[in-house]
Amino acid sequence: MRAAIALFLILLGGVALAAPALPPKPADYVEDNAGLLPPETRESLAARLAQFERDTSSQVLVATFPRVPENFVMEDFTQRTAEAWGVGQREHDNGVVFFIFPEDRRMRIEVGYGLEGAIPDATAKSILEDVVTPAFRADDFAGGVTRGVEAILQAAQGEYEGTGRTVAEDGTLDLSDILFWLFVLLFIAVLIASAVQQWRRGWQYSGGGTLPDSWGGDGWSSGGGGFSGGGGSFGGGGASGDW
Amino acid sequence: MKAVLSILGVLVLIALVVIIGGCSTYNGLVSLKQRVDQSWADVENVYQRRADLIPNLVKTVEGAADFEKTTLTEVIEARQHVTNVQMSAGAPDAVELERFEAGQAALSGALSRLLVTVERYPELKANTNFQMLQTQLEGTENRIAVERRKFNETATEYNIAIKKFPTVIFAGMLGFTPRALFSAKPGADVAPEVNFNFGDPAPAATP
Repeated sequence: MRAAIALFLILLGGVALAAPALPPKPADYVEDNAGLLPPETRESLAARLAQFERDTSSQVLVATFPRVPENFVMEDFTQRTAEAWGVGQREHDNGVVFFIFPEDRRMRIEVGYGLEGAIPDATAKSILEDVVTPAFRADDFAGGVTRGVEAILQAAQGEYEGTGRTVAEDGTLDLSDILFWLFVLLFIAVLIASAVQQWRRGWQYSGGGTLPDSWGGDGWSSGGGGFSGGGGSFGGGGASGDW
Repeated sequence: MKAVLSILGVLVLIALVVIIGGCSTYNGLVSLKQRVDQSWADVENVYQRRADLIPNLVKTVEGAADFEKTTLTEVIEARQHVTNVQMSAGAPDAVELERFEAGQAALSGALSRLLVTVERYPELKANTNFQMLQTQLEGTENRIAVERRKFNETATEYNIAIKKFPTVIFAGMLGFTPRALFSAKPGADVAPEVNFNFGDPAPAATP
């Protein structure tokens, strides 16, 4: 039994090491971890993007992080994060995430499979270079992000029909939520098991995982229903840029 | 007599459990195998997308004054070779996958040498047609990295499923053989950056 618990802990640590941690699911359409945008811009953008999902069912998000996490190539990080967040509807894969990393001065528009036709790489590239970069060079982040998002919405307009409601407003419990709570239960079980272990042998679990504790989710920032992913998938479409 | 009957009943029950369990496991494996084949198709798709870009790229580069012919010929030949590789339907076995990868790697190498050579031709770098092709190539390399990873993930899931007890006992008999994976070459994920972001990425955009 003891060996089994020890093995389990090792496996848990191994899993954490094998797959670098991705940021948790965002609560709203604008996830400003880098603190790049004034609150009013954040709110008006979030409201605009929620309305866009109601109208077209396409989910467009803005996500800022101070920098690309260590051990990640930007394109790898953005594709995995967008997919893990499930941006876009499962049946259409119509999600877009505009990532910005101010300390690296790099950014990327990640486009879901279902919008690769409406926003081909060249379009994404020209949005970054012609619309966003000039504003960012002038340190006008709010203006750059707003105009960039507007250009993305314009390109994605008319591809899909909306239902008048966002996924968050549909209020269904999705699979990932269930998985999340299962994981919490599992985690508690592990804690109890390791406490028992410590009590029995004085053995110290030194913690092999490398989960960062600095993903600052900033919670609910607008009065809307917030964001909930529809389960869309990403294939690496979009473009990268810098300023 | 009663004893014989009850033993018979137990045997029938066991047989039922095995058959029902076997069926549902079999169905699970079938759909998993289907998913592996689907992600292989996605991999072939993105590689095809790259091959399709090349004629256009060659034409654009050829247009530049006195462009060095050797690197260009290399790319054309590597592409020819890649499109000639015959693959059987569905996800390939280890031998086929190695052949596929060798061809694609040769094309990747030839392409990156071509793009390094382009560095010496400023008027070509400034050509809008070439810039668009470069964006498309970058995007395609990125998609290749993504689909390779997704294929490996799905194939690993399948490989683990067929090795689990008791599935492992009959998986081989029913034709569920393990799938070969792409080798994760060190730095394979970095390829698009190393190969295609030469010099200052946006000199034309400087105000």
